[in-house]
Amino acid sequence: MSRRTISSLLALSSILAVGMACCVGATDIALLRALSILIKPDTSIDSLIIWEIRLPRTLAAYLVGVCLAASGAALQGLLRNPLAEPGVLGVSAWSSLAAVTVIYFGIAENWSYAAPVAAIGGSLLATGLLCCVAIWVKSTVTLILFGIGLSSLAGALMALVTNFAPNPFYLSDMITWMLGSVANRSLLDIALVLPFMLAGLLLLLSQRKGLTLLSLGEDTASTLGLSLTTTRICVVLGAGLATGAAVSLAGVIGFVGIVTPHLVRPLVNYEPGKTIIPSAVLGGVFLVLIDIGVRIISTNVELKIGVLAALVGAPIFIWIASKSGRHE
Amino acid sequence: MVVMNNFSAKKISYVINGKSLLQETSIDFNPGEFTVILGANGAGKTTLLKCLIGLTEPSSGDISLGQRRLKAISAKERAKFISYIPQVPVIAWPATVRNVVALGRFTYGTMFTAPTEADTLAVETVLHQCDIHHLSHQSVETLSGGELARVHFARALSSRTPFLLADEPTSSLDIAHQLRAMRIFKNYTTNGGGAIVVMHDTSLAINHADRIVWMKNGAIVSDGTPKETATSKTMKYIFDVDTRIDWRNNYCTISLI
Repeated sequence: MSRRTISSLLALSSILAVGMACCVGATDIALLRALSILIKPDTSIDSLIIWEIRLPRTLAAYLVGVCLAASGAALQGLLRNPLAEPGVLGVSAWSSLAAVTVIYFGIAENWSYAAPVAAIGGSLLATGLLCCVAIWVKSTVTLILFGIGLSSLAGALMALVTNFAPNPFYLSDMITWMLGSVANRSLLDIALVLPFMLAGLLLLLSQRKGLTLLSLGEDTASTLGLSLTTTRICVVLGAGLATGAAVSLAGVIGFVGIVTPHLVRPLVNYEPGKTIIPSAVLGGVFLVLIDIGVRIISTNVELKIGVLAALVGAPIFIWIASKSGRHE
Repeated sequence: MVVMNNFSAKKISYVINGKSLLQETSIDFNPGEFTVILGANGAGKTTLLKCLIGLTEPSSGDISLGQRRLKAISAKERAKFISYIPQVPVIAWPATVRNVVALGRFTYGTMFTAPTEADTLAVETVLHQCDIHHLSHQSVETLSGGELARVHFARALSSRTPFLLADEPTSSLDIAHQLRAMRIFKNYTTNGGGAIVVMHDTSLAINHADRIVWMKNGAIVSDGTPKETATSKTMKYIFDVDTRIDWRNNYCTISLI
């Protein structure tokens, strides 16, 4: 497939997915009606539903998908491992741990932005640590192991915090955070995290060529003129910012960063640099579709987007893992 | 090709965990010369090569490129002077041959620019030179060992550097491909490049190189043309084997006794 075909298909599917997401819900709105409202808002109930509820929620899902998939694609290029992901390196875990901790201490009650800010802080802490380790050690295997350790530690601390949750309301808040959700997001919530998302994505995009060069391994890449340290720092920091912002908007949503790069890679001749943008867009579309699914599958208790994403993503993860194992 | 006629190491040593892998080694390399480094396993050949390319920093001593110290040259600029084929080359993803070869042009672009005409020309030329043009659009996963080795040669040559360092590039090749590799190095050096190659095949090296550097225990023990230095005495000292070396019509045969 040519680059142009891929780009047009991705753009088209993005518009369709977002359009569809505006139609589907408790009250159905016709696609044309929804599109016309998107172009020109009016004072009808439909317009209110779309602009106040569905569009923010859909945008949130889309942006979170973009950030997670771009981070996944970039980290896979950096570590030359199709299973690398913000989740693997513990960035998501620390991000949600920080958010949950803030909820635990009740800070989130007094200041509604406390949880998002903490989430970004947590992911920056994790990426900062990863940055130091990345400069300090030469091997990416060590970096992955460090990430896994970091992730396990966050998991343990998370269990500790939920264990001591002062009352069921806190517990429910924390669990919502850990399961991932884009319900009830406002455009303001999105605006708060958007700068971090953009900064992260730009950092990742700046390293596209370097990531492709890293296909040849670190030694050869560095003899070909790549500054390993710069690439590592930009990618780890970029993935940290983008992931932290995504977690702060929607909680923990796994597997997006593994699934979409895997689908995109064969279409771009396995060039890690060229994988990032298509993966990111596809990640956005993927999460919007999952969110539509969440709304269609109506249950008594709201089904969380992170749960459905994991139910779809985890089997694909296992499939990729078993396939790559057989190759070697 | 950039004019660069001085690439040298002065008294470089490399010590790791109390073990000395290189001992005050000094050496000069010249353009247009095909140098092969020979020595037993653990003699310090790879360490020397890694110091020369800047992957390993010597514990002491200096390496200079032109009038400048290697340490003071940025990775990006260094890549315009020296290219390198590692002992075990990696291609992490099943990319196409052309794309892998084109990575050798990284240093000439910026993070955002598309390949220039010079880049395309260089890639085309080396694809022909290494006889892999017909494989351009194939995935590297589908190649044989010999074809893959030529992809790595082409990738290194596409940088058009005055010096080329290669670490045992022929070890996994059959005789025909070994000779082909020798021709690629010869071609490179007759065009003014300086090739510095670590090898294990003594007779292949002696019959093709312009200069042999013999190493033992992290030091250079003999350095000169194959005719001067390839003697049974050297072979005994380096490898601890008894050999008979016969020169006939400028062709050397080494027989183990």
